[in-house]
This record gives sequence, structure tokens and C-alpha cells, in this order.
Amino acid sequence: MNKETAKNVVVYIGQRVSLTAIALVVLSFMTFTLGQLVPGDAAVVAAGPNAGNERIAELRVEMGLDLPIHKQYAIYLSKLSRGDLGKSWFTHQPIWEDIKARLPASAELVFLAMLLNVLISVPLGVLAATRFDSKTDGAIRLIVMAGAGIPIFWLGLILQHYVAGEAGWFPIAGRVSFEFRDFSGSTGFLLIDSAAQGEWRIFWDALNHLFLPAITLATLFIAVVTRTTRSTVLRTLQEDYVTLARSKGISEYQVVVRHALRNALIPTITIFGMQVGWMLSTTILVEEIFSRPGIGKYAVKAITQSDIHGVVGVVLVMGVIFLITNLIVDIVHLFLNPRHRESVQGK
Amino acid sequence: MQSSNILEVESLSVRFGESRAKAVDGISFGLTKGETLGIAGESGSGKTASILSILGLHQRATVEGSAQFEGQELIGADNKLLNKIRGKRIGLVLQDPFAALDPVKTVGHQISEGLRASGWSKKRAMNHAIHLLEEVGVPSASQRVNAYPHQFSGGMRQRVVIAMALAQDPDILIADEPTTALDVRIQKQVLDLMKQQCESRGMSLVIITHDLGVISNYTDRIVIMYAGKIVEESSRLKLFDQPLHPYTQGLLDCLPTLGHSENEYLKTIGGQPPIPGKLPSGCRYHPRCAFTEPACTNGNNPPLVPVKWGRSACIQLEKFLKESQ
Ligand SMILES: Nc1ncnc2c1ncn2[C@@H]1O[C@H](COP(=O)(O)OP(=O)(O)O)[C@@H](O)[C@H]1O
Ligand code: SF4
Ligand SMILES: [Mg+2]
Repeated sequence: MNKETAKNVVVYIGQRVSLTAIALVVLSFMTFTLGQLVPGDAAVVAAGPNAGNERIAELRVEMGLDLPIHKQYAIYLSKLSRGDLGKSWFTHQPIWEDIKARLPASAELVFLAMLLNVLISVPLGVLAATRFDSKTDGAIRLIVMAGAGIPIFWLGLILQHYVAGEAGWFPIAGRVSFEFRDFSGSTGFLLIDSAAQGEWRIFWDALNHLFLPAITLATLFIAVVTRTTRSTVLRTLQEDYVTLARSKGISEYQVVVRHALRNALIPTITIFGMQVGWMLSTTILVEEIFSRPGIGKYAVKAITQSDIHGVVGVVLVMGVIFLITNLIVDIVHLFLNPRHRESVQGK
Repeated sequence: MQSSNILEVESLSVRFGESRAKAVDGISFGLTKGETLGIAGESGSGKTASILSILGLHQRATVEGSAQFEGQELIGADNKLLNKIRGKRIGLVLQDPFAALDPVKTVGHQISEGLRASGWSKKRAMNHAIHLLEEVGVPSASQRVNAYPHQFSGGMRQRVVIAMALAQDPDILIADEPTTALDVRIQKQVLDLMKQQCESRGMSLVIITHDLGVISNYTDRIVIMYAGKIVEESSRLKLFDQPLHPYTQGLLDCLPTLGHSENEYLKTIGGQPPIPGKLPSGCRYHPRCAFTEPACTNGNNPPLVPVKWGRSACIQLEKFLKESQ
């Protein structure tokens, strides 16, 4: 990368970061609007069933409900910037504290599902493409169709019932076994904390608890990426540069990995980036089935308790994570695609 | 005779899909060491399919017949054997320089890749890539070696592709329409470059084209293909002086001649070449031929008949031979 390009790249990243910031403001506006949709009078609800009119009026002022809407939004933004998402109606904790406590469980789940996704879908897609129209390709297509067609909740229930329940190969539910429930560490990530403390039994236990939920979460995404990788690699395999790479007498493995797959990865990375966000919102289904104490399960609880601020908090956090992973993907693209690196100026 | 040819192609046929018709239908030709051979014919006549099949590079084609490099059979050979020939003995240049280079790898990487695979150190292979870029006329080669394909013009890219094909010092360079995608001005530079490289390396050269004019100055011998068949083979001089096959005559009539005004319509052969699977009976050229006789339309395709300086496949060969004397 020359100096000129390096400068462009820095400028480009700056632009992407500001765009992300703008998207965050839009997101906050949407969640603010969502928060306004509380059925009935928020002050009445907050005051509880036995409060008198005076108390309600007091609360209304306290909550800023008497102010014009734009001022309310300004207050909302300043609260957000301090990490104040309001209080939960059912845990009676600040929502941000609730989410912070549950986010590591969900992040571990999404991370493992994503890892399975990358490790399975890309090789499977490449295998199908290089064995185009063979039995292998047909079998993979069948798996993809099944994977994309199975409803996630159904897959989760089946795995839980047969693989965990009847066969007993994995724990049925939860994040960690009862005997380890008091274990904690500095990061909140069970896998990291247990590994850091050398508690390998806990590490293994947590990993076992993660496995079926991760499979459940990953299946649909694996199906999607396998199919797109297959078709992208099929396309790149037809490119002249692949034919010419072959004409040099290098091994077929090098031809496929260095040229066909390497080029196919550019669009694939974009899909992976978006899938992180989609997976996070799919934890709502998976964590509920496997009773994992993550933000998905928290969201379900908030919904059933009509805790609009809890829901809004989860939406906001998921939205922020979605935007940040996409920002990262944009930056990764700069490294993967030299044409892009060069053309970023002036955009 | 067979032993003197470095490449010997015999009854080569190519089909796409088991049941589909032959896109290349039993072609035979030889190539001697250091010789330059032109293969010409309209688009769709099977030129690309033939040469890609020889190197086993047509992924979905069914290939029959024989192609021997120094007596080694290439058709049906496994990748292990083919990879000893590809790049190392036979280099390839393709038509579209904008598609021929991997957009995400530096040109140096792509030129040196074959050498690296045969065990050269990175440094040595890169130095050789720089040397090759200089040789094919890419300016400031030592910096450009680290540039990406999109940073080159079409003509320069084709030079890079040629450097890539020359990297492992092959015995044969096969160029499939190497100048079709380039400006007229640059076409000549690229052809000159290939010709000069072949002469200095004692390398054989096969230039494929749909435009006979392109290769008239560059090849010793020319093979004309029509609808998957070779219809004529001739020395360059003889071909232009005394074309035997009506199709060759048609191609020559279409060439712009010196002295004609630029606005003049270029003549083309009337009608379209047939597509594989919908071939006319008898001579495949008969629907477009100016000399068609009833005998041309029936029976089998006329066989290639040797003449003193080549071969021709026309049932009226005798007549044309006499007329041209
Ligand atoms: N990959 C392919 N699949 C199916 N048909 C093909 C393929 N490549 C070429 N053909 C067909 O084979 C015939 C010869 O094509 P080609 O060798 O590319 O001709 P040329 O190089 O002389 O223009 C054409 O009719 C073309 O449609
Ligand atoms: S065989 Fe007949 S139709 Fe075919 S090229 Fe000769 S004269 Fe023309
Ligand atoms: Mg062609």
C-alpha cells in the first residue's frame, strides 16, 4: 500500500465511522419513538396501582413527561450517552446493568455459532462448487435445503428432546451446571474466565451447554452461506484468471483456495458481517428454548412483562452491535480487495 | 514424421455434456519446434475449446482423441502429469487481459506463482518476475511488480499475462486471440513482443484468431477451422496467394485491403456459422458457400485431402487446384 492509498484508507475509515455514528443517532431516534408507544400514561404505570393523583403528577415532572417532545428526546440522548436505558419493571435494576450481565452469555453463543458457520459453510460451499453436479454436490444441496427449511424453534426442541434428553449427550438447558453456578470471573464470559483461571472442568461444562444452542442457532445461517459460497465459487471458477492460474501447473488446491475462494470471500464476508447481527436477534428464540440467561431470553421476558424500555434497550444494544460489526466488515474489505482500497477516495 | 513434432494433435473432439454435439470434431494438426502456427476461424468454430482441451483446462468438456506433447499423451492424463506440462512446457495467453489476471493478487505474485510451486524461493521468483516484466516491456518493473492488475492498462495487462506465460520458460506459447480486446495500435506491439520472445527462446508459437489479417505477418503455417473442423491448412504465403477452400477465400475477401477507403463497408461472409448440434448435412459450409453443388449437400463432410503445401476439405478441390494454376 503506498502513501496515497494509506491516506485514502484512513479517510475512508473516518467516513465509515461517522456514517456509523449517524446511523446510531437514527437508531436512537427509532428506539425513542418506540419508547413513546407505552400503552397508557407512563407516569400512571410507573407510579403503580395505589398512587394518588399527586404522586402521578410528581412523577410526570420527574420523568420529564411534561416537557415538549424534542426536549424529551434530548434528555433521552444524554441518558443514553451515560448508558442509562431506564429501569426494568421486573428486575428493578437499571436495564443497562441487566443487559451487561446477560450479554456475555449471548455473545458466547453467537461467537460459537458463527465459528461453526464459518468452519462448516465455507468448506462445504467450496466442496459443492468444485464437485459441481456430482453426488457430493447433490448431497450438500439436500443438506442446505433441509437446513434452510427447518424452523429454528423446532430444530431446537428436537435436538433438546432427543440429543440432550433421550440420548443424554448434552445438557438440556442452562448456561452451566448447577454445581458451578457460583463461578464468576472478570469478563463475564464463562469460557474466557474459566480458561483464564485454569478451571477446565467449568470450561468444558460451559462449552457442552453451548453446543446444542449453537448448532440450533447456526443451522439456518450455515445453509445460507453454503449456498452463496457454492454459487460464488462456481462463478469465480469460471473466470479466466482461474483458468490461467491452472495453466501455470500449480496444484488444484492452490488454484481453488488462492484464486477462486479468495475472490469469492469478498462477498461472503459481507454476509458474515450481517449474520452476526441476525444471529444476535435469533438468540431470542434459542435462549428461550434452552433457558440460557442471555439478552434474547431477557427480551422475551421484557416482552411478556410489557416492559417496553427493556425491549427498547435490547433493540438498541443489538442495533449497535449490528452497526459495529458492519463497520468492521467494511474495514476488512479494504484488506481483502485492492480495487476497493484504491477507489475509496472521494466517496 | 510424428517424432519431429513437439505437439501432435490427432482426431481431437470436444463435446459439452455427454449427449451434446461436438464443438470440436476430430481435428488433427502438428507443431514443430520453433514453428509459429496460426489457427483461424470465425467465432464459435471451436478454437478455444481445442486448445483448452489439450491442456485439460476445459472443466466440463468431454474430450476424445489424442494430443501428445513430446510423445506424452495429454488427453485423459491426470493433473499430476498435466501440471508438469502446464506452464513449464506450454504457456497460455487468453483473449481478455481484463479477465485474465486475479484482481486481488499483485502481478508479481501471479507471475512468480508457477515458479514458487516448483520450489523457487520467494526472493528469487520475485526477482525473476521483475526481470520478465522488463523483458515484456513494462516500465519501472521493480515497482510495478507489486502493483495490482487494475493499476495497468489493457495493453500492459496483456504484457503481464505474457510474462506470466513465459515465467517457466515453456517450449510452446499458445495465445488465444491475444489482441482481440486491444487497440489496433497496441495489437501490433503485443504480437511483435510474442514473436520476438519466441525467436529468442526458440519457442513454438500458436496464435489463435478470428481475424486472418492479425496473423498474416506472424505465422509460418495457418490452420483454418470451420464449425469444429479443420477445413484447410496451408503455409502462410500459399494461403494468401492460393486459398483452396471456399471458406478461406471468403475469409480473405473480408480482409480490409490497402488502398481502399476507410468508409467502405467491410465485406462479410453471408449467413451465420452453424452451431454444434445443428450442423448441415454434407459439407458444413454449403449453406454459405458460393460454389455449392448438389453433391456438397449430401452425405458426409468432405475429408481433408493433402496437397503439396497443406490440406483442404472440399469436394471440388481438384477443380480449384486446376483453376488456380
Ligand atoms: N463451456 C461451454 N459449455 C458449452 N458450450 C461451450 C462452452 N465453451 C464453448 N462452447 C461451445 O463450443 C463451440 C466452440 O466454442 P469456442 O471453442 O469458444 O469457439 P472459438 O474459440 O472458436 O470462438 C461454440 O458453439 C460454443 O458455444
Ligand atoms: S464442399 Fe462444396 S459447399 Fe463445401 S466448401 Fe467445397 S464447394 Fe463449398
Ligand atoms: Mg475463442
